Amino acid sequence: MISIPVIRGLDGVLAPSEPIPESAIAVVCNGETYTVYEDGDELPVVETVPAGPTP
Amino acid sequence: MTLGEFMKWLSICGYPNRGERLTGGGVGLPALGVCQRPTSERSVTGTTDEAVLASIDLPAGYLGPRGALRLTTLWSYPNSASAKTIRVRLGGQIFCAKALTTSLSFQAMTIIRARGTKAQVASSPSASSDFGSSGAVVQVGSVDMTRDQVLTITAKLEAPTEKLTLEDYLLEVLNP
Repeated sequence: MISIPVIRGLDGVLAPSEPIPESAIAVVCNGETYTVYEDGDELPVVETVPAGPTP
Repeated sequence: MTLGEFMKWLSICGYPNRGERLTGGGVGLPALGVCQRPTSERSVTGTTDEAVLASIDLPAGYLGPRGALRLTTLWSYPNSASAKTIRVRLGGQIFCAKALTTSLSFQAMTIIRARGTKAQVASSPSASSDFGSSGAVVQVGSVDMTRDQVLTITAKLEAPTEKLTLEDYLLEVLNP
């Protein structure tokens, strides 16, 4: 897992301060860093949609 | 061979390697004109700032004067009234700007059609769909494609507790 610091452009848009590695399998930006998950890393929890009513 | 054509040939061969690579061509190789897709989903959460989720370098001359860029993006997000805004910029000019709310997923197809080397036309960035009719006028661009340009895909949350995910994108460069 790699943390890439955020940089803010003149237009206020956040961007990674270095390119995201091609080995990344998931990337999450939280406003301060881009967290890069690589093969073998535990991925962040994905919010699941509740199941609908049973027919 | 002009300088622009030489730069395009270098790019097809994979040089220089800046940002995300553009590849294509040949039997058994990736399709001509198809940008290498990302291997990762990319998300923004915990902030209301607009954040770049993908940045693709386009060398000078890559989009021909009669060509088109076709960018297909796939997004997922929670179903809520809070706006989740997706944007696509070429050379800093906006060609897609959609506020997603009470749904769970969205697929956008942004087609930037060249009109010569320094003008483009596309469907309205804020239209609810990239196909069909819209009450908004077409988008006109003035990006100089004789220079290196950057295509960026960004995401912005209204509610920082939510998460907006760029599941995938596919960039095609179509030069007749």
